[in-house]
Amino acid sequence: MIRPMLLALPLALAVGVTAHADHLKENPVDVLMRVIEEVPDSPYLLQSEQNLMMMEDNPNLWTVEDGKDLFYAARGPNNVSLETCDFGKGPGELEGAYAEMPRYFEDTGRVMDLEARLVHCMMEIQGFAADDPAVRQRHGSGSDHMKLQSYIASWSNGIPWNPPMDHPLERAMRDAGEYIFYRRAGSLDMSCQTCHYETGKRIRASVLPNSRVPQEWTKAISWPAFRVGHDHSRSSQHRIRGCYWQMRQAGPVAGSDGTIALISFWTDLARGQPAILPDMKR
Amino acid sequence: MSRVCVAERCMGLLPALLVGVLLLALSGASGPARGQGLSALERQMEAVVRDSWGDAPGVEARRLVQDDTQLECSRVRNEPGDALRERIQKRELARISYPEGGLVLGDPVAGERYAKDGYGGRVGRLRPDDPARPRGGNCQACHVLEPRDGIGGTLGPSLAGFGIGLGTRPVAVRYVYDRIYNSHAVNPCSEMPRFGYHGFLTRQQILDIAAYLLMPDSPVNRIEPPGSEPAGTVRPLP
Ligand code: HEC
Ligand code: HEC
Repeated sequence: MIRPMLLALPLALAVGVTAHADHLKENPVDVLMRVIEEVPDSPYLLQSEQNLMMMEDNPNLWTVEDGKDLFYAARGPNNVSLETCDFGKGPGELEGAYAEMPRYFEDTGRVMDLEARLVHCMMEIQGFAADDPAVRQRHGSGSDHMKLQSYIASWSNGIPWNPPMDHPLERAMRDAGEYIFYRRAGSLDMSCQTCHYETGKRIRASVLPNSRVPQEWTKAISWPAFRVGHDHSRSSQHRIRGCYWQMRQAGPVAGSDGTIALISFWTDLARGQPAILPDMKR
Repeated sequence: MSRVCVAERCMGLLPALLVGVLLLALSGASGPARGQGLSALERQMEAVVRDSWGDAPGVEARRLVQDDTQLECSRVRNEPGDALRERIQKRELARISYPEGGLVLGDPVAGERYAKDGYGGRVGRLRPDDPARPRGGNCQACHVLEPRDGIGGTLGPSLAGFGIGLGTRPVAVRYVYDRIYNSHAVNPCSEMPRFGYHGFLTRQQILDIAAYLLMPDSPVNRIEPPGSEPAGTVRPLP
């Protein structure tokens, strides 16, 4: 029932998305459809026909637009834009940069995810203080962070995840992430494996993505995404907190190496599959 | 070290930790460390964990520490070989505590509530537990509980019709009590939480849930009108 509708979808969608974000070479729905074609029976990818239909009007597209304005605006105490920020492909080079994060940055000596890198540039280049709301406020569609992250990430739409593993610290972070992913703890004895290791399993009504199926996993890790249930755009860091909440374990410190390690590992698991950005989730 | 404060706090120490991980990984040093039973690499990983969760207050921080079974199951990704399986099972069986008055089935109505309610165990500043409100087992998150249950999860097997065929014999009550109290005593490295062992549910709550699962007039075991699908599998005792 769902498939004939899906196949008809791209035709119906020819216009919309590009009207918003003209740097998107491919409609994120089409990227998702490509992925679904490879695993046409995936319960996770097909769980919400409604979301698929609504992706054309993904509210995150507006967040992307807001982010674009913010990115090029002269801001902060130094009154400069973010155009000199290097996300790994050179200053201001955004195309495909997020698909190759987390990565090691020589200027900080750290492996950084998108959020950490953005914080770094806002502070070092624009001169924002750590406690400035622009830097501090990480969540919600109205936050500078969600806008900027959504814009920067959208430049990797359709591009295969390819986090670099050249620097030894990049490999160490990926391995630390793997360790944390399988680490059972807490009064419910859970690890990420408990809920993300099999295809088509459900926690109550939610269909869970399988970390061992890259096609399911690329959608799972495609953040920022608009979360329909929250009525807000959300980040990778926010998802990690949510899953620790479900496991009834304490949440890690936002931006800590533990969280970046998890993101390194989960991105490595989706390697080769196209990023779907912006995405829309339940 | 790092000049950047990426979070609510600065993490100047972390790169050093990871450099440690890296050096160990490169040197291949992974023999078991004396005392804690952790390899040198595992101890470095644990340092990253401690530091990344560093600001967790007391109870939360303690929950972060793994016990022996959590550690062993994590290492083998929940696929223990025969020897480990036997060791864990023996240890976890010894950790089950039984009520003074013996195993007497409790109140199935309260049991139904505890099986469906997901209350409790919350950590963090967001919504801490109300100590006056009993915790629930949230069984329905992972199990379909009743023949007519349309919202139960599928991480665990369906329990619809679970008590049919088992009845309320002492051996059945004992099996269900053990399973809920400490699932690793039945199936080492089970994905199901050890509700009794962690004190997440009380012994009485477990007996209430057992009543809900086993009693013949419980909605779990309600016989469907003829012509409808069979309610659940009639299972033999393990
Ligand atoms: C108790 C079960 C449970 C555990 C354990 C768990 N998660 Fe999740 N996870 C979920 C649920 C439920 C969703 C939302 C899926 C949905 O709505 O379809 C989710 C979603 C996700 C997603 C995004 C996919 C989406 O559609 O929203 C990622 C990525 C993820 N989890 C990673 C993790 C990581 C990493 C861990 C370990 C730190 C973890 N999860 C542990 C239940 C769990
Ligand atoms: C995180 C998911 C999860 C939760 C929560 C959970 N279980 Fe389970 N349960 C499982 C899994 C997985 C199995 C089967 C694999 C195994 O042996 O561990 C299982 C097995 C069982 C069995 C054995 C079934 C059989 O056929 O012998 C019973 C009984 C059971 N669970 C009852 C409960 C009850 C009662 C609760 C709530 C107090 C509960 N479970 C909560 C995951 C869960």
